[in-house]
Amino acid sequence: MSMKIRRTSAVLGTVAVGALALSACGGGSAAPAPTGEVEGEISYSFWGSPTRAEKVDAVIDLFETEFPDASVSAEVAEYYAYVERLTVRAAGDDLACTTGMQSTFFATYADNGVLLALDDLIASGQIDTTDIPEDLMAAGQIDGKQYMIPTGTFVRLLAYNEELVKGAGVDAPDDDMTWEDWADWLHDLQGGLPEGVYAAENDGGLMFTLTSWVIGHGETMFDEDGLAFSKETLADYFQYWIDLADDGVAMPPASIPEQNGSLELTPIALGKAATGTRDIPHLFIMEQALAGNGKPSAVKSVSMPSESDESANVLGSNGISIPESCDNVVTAAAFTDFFANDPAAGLAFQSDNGIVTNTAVQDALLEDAETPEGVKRNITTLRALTDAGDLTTSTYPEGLATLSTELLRLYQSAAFGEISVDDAVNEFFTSAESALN
Amino acid sequence: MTATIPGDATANIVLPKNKRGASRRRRENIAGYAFMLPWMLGFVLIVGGPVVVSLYLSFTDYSILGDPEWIGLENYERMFTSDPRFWAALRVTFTYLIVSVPLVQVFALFLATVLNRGIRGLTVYRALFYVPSLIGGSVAIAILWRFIFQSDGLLNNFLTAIGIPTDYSWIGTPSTALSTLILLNVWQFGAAMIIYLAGLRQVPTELYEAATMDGAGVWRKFISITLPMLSPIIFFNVLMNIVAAFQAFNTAYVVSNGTGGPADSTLFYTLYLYQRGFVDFDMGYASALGWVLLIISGGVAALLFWLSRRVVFYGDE
Repeated sequence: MSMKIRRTSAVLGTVAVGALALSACGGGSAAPAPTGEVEGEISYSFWGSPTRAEKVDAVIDLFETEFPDASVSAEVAEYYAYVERLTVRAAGDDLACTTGMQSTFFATYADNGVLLALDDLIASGQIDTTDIPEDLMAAGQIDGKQYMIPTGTFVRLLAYNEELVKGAGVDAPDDDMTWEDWADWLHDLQGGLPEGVYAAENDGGLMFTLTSWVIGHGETMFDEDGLAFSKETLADYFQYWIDLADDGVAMPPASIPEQNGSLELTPIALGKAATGTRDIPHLFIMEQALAGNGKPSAVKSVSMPSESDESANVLGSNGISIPESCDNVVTAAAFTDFFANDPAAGLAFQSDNGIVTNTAVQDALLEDAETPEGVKRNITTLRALTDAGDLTTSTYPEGLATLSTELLRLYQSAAFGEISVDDAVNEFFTSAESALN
Repeated sequence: MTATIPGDATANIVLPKNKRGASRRRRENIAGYAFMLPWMLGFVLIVGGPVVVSLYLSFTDYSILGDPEWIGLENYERMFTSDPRFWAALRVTFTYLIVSVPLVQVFALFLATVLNRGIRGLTVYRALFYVPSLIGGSVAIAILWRFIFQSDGLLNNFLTAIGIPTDYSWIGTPSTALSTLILLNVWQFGAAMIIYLAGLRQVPTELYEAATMDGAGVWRKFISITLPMLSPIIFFNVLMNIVAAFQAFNTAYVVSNGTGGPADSTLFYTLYLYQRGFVDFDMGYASALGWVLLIISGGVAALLFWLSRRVVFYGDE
């Protein structure tokens, strides 16, 4: 395995998407940051479970104690319902003054002039971002403008079940593999696994795994014209996963529709697969699921394979945006600042939606005895990656949801032999032309 | 003929009787319209208005976040000439309709005929067969369906238990995924069965007695008496089931996680419309899809009514 020097390329996706924003209708106010008292009512909308809602309520209580003239009402919904409603609410100028966003879909709103550019609020100190690393901040930028304050990040890594790997008698994967190295390692692993357990999940239809593949092959996902990588790269990606499945090393494509998006029901969490491409915050959840299924094991991670000097550990983020339609920007900025920076708020929220980005809050969580072990481990892993510069930030253009659906559909069609890999690739590129424009 | 208005200050005014009647009719009309007003407002604002707007939007490029941009017939042109998923959705929907609707009728009529023989415990059987119609379209049953037909589901566990070990994913394989949804629809034959049962009770017994005296067997009586006498009910059930098949959404959405997969094998038309409207936010195109569905389902219904003139027997003809 060749040693590779990994470096952070925080601008990859940003540059790629920037031109899209330029050609779109506006995007962000150039007016100076409003000033005034932190007072009045605002709303904070976010997605998540009732447990997360309780933690948000605790943060809001702290905020209202700090700013007694201000009040925040929480609006929570399940992820898919939240994303679906977001566009309808945006169309009616009805977004909450502090709206939960994600690096995978905020471009849709920034490009259409729905979101406020937060740079002036940052410059005026109303939103302090000095403790959030630049690489992480980039996940909320388009064309150099900050539309989302990243509050919780996620990084795609190679996850593996430590017990299954040990039991198979193979060495743990290392941080410096190429995709071919990983395929060889999976074949060795498969030989030692119990019957019915696969060496890898089948991730051939996952957009974020494709992103790692493309970046790891030294290419860029998107530019102003749409897709920026070659058809050959996508064909190789499809064929890679089809070959792994044909060899019985990756799970068959028929297993993909059986997964319903719940982390607890992923093949790794059920002990049906030993490895997969997963985000850091999810590893601990899968560990807990394995323990619940009577198959306890640590779920460890290593860097994503890469064929180039570029890190393929793709970083995304959840965060908070303020819409142009907000009539109380001062209080919205104060709440965003409080949520992102206040150590007490960080302890109350316990890094519940992605790994907390603020290093001071990370320190507070690491020092606090009540912080769950999984949260501490996630922070440590993120810090190690940040220190090593082994991260790549990627933002995504409007139309990503359509493209993700198309990728999954066409991978399945090719994997089931319904169309050729070349036809699947051509159809994907044709779909992308319309989805990204 | 004249009349006075009792208690009226203008009691000395004498109105012709036909004018008094016209006045009452007018008041009754006003009252009638007043009672209808909530429904009419609801229809115009909640149904009629959006329908008209959707027709307009079908000729536009509209992503919700911007203003609609008039593009003429471009959405329709794209649909018919360069959208393979539109044709895939039509293929899936018509396969579902053509296979499941007749199967539902066969099962429902067969069991209604059996239950009509006056067996003991009829009400219990009737309730048992009817229950799936009540719950079959629910999200809970769709999730249960996943657990039955996935690779480690109940069906494969059963097959393994009887010596046919398999980990075949019935919902994960394109060639069988749609069949599981058809089976789910057929399982809900109870509602049609109840209607057939009621229809069978209305067939005059003297027709069967006369046929028996003429030496007709069971099959001949079924073909020559039962089916013609039930034909209006068969027509009704078929029509209702076809309309429901065009609108099928819940089960496909849940079983395929909203994707219509694997490889578009369960991409029902309504699911595709939903994806274009509420995943891609291509509302202009989704509106065009909606209007094409309306035209197709209206055409099929018109065809059925035309056929009914030839094959449905209403007794008074």
